[in-house]
Amino acid sequence: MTEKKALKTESGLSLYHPLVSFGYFVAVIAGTLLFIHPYFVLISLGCALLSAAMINGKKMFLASLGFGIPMFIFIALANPLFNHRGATILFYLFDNPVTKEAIIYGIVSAGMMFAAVIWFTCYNTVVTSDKFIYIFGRVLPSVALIISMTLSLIPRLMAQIKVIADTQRSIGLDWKSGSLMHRIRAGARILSILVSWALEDAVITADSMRARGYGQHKRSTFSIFRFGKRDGIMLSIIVLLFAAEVAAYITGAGTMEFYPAIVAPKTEFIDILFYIAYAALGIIPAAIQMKEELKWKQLK
Amino acid sequence: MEAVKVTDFSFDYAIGNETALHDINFTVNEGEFIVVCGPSGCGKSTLLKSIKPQLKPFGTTRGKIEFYGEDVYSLPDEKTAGEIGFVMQNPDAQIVTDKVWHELAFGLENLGVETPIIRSRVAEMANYFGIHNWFRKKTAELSGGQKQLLNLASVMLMQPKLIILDEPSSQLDPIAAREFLENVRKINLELGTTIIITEHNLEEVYGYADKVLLMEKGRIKKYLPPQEMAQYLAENEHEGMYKALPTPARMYGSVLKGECPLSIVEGRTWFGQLVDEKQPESPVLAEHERPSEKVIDINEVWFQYEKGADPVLRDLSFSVRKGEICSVLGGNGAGKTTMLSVVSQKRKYNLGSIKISGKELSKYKGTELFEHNMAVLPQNSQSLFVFETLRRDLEEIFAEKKISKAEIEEKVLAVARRMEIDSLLDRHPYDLSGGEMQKAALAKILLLEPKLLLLDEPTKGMDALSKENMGRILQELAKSGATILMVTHDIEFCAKYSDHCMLFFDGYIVSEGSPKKFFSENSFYTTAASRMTRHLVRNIITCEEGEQLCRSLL
Repeated sequence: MTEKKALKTESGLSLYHPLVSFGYFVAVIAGTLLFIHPYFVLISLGCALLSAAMINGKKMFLASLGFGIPMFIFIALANPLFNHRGATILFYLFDNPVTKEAIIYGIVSAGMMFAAVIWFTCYNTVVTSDKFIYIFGRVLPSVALIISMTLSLIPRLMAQIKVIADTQRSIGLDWKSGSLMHRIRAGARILSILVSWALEDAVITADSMRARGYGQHKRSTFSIFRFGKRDGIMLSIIVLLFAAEVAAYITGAGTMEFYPAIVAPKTEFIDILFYIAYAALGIIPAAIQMKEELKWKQLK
Repeated sequence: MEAVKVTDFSFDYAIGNETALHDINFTVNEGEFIVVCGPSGCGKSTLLKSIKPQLKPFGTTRGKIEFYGEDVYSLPDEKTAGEIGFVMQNPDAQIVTDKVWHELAFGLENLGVETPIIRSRVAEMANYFGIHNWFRKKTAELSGGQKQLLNLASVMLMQPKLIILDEPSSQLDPIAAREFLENVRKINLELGTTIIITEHNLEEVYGYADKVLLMEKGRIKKYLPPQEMAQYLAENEHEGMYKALPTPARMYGSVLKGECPLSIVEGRTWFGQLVDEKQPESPVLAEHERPSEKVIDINEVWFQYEKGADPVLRDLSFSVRKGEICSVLGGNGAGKTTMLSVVSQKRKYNLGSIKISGKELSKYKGTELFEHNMAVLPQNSQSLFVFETLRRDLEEIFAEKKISKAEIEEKVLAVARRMEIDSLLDRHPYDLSGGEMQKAALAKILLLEPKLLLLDEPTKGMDALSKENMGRILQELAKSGATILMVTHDIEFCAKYSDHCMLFFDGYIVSEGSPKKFFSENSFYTTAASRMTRHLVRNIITCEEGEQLCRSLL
């Protein structure tokens, strides 16, 4: 089962080096969170939805919409109801002014949250836990080893709990039935066996580590990921587009004034360039995916 | 070249009263395959661990252990960490990391080796052991055999000159165990790596040995090539160890004629020479009569783990009769253990009917099934024990029942005597050896006074003597009216002690019969004695029958 899931993600952006995919999501999610600006939000949301539809698989995509759309509606409605700033009062609800500015700000910020949620679902598909550990391990190698050990320990403990519970049940100590006292006793017993079992195993694991030279020398960190030429190219593109994003933020092109009255978004040449650069960044996962699928079609 | 040279080595534990080592002297040449054997508690493990400085137990040593001419304790750590590999018993706990590739690289990372070198060495080793197919898997998803192979490969990656293995296959089923030991053999033959190994069960590994080291009470008793060791064991009273020998060597031992055979092929030739012109008669198969009362009655049962999955049980039907020892044999992952979990209510079946003592399984509510009725001995008997002494653990069976203290003590002592574990009652359950723990587990479930016993791989990790005890106990239980259903890979055990054998394949019982009929009709799935003698004499199944036949031919 898990294998099938893992296979599905081995395409498009997932096939790049973790630094590339991780860097990509840092860039795109930073942009999403920084720019509360209708055009940027629109671009981000559109690209996020497109990417999610292409790389997350139908089931997960629909699930993320099922969460994202109600959230969008909730935030969009909540802002004008609780926020009464803004110069243009449209009407009064329960003696409270509802302003045009608050409505628009609500829609834009709800769109931003919606886009961020969708981007995170894409992140989850592409940057799997082992890639994250790898990135993390480059900064803090010892912590990465601890995470790796924990990840191997948890399924082992889960399996042991099951074995113990089954065994105890077959000698008449079922934690799922009987009086409350009985259940507590049976549950405590399972835990007690688990703990002594785990301690016993920990001694062996420590021996196994020592036997293989752990703790004496400076460790190196091995990974199965290789940084190739195409990773370099893609990373350069991402860095370049990210620089444009930073420039947009610094020059103020990415921010817009909503209160007290809305100033219409700028559409000068330089602003249009920023929009295009941002859209180019957002479209990357979908574009890679599309290119790959076209290749497959041709090969058929 | 001497890889290991031990001179006048003695060892005393800093604490505890475990057997120490006295005046150990032996040498191992480069490229040799050494099997260390001896009854449990003879100091095998202590000796092996003493050769690996990182694992040396706490205590005082005298004498010297040399590794390629240098004192092993004064060598730099990174040399001994890499050049002396050590594989332990427990396949799970030895694994440190969560991914197969990471586990392989772990040792080299510790030595600070650069990534490109690790990369190529990992690739080489993964190919050599056929690991490349599950290279990116999580370690938790591997089977026991794969885990142990991974442990061996991770050690091999550090390019050791010597590998020490401490009962590496005792927690594997016989098929995985054989595969694992074949890999150890392959390393020895193809790479010239020196091997020192201990095993409870000598059946597989004995034939690989260049020399066998026999230990007793912390001393070396004999250090001989396997043929001469077989002769020595046959001539001298060393019951347990003689019984552990592979079947061909034991049949030779019963007559001590000619050259000692170690494999089935050699055994067939040797047996042919022994028979020579004589024409021994094949024993006649007795009529197989089964008791009529059905304790387990399974009819057309189907089982799937989830909707749409491949059925694990397909139209399964069989019965177990009162007072029988009934064995189910079959390959790995065939669903034998699943069958047991369906019968013991752990899992619900989809179709068909299962009756236990005449009552439909689904009618048993709560833990009713386990009250003076059914008891299950799990594969991993460790999961049965809770307390710090075995005695308390056995007594706690009565914790929720209204019985006087004196009566409990009496019952516990009775069952402990019966299982011959009364001397172990004050030990910590986890300190028991594999065979002792299995007996203790059986004692615990016998206190429930079950009428029906389900055993999953009861002889796993047992030496020859413990197996014999276990077999005898099971036969006594059956005689006193208990019914036993066991699932096992242990063909020899099954041939010797069961009343009825079944072959489980593709989700149902393909063939069944009395052990004699069952094993003499099978041509592949049969005992060593049968494979050795069948071309000349029919219907010889157990090693004891073989020995008897050999003696009659003198």
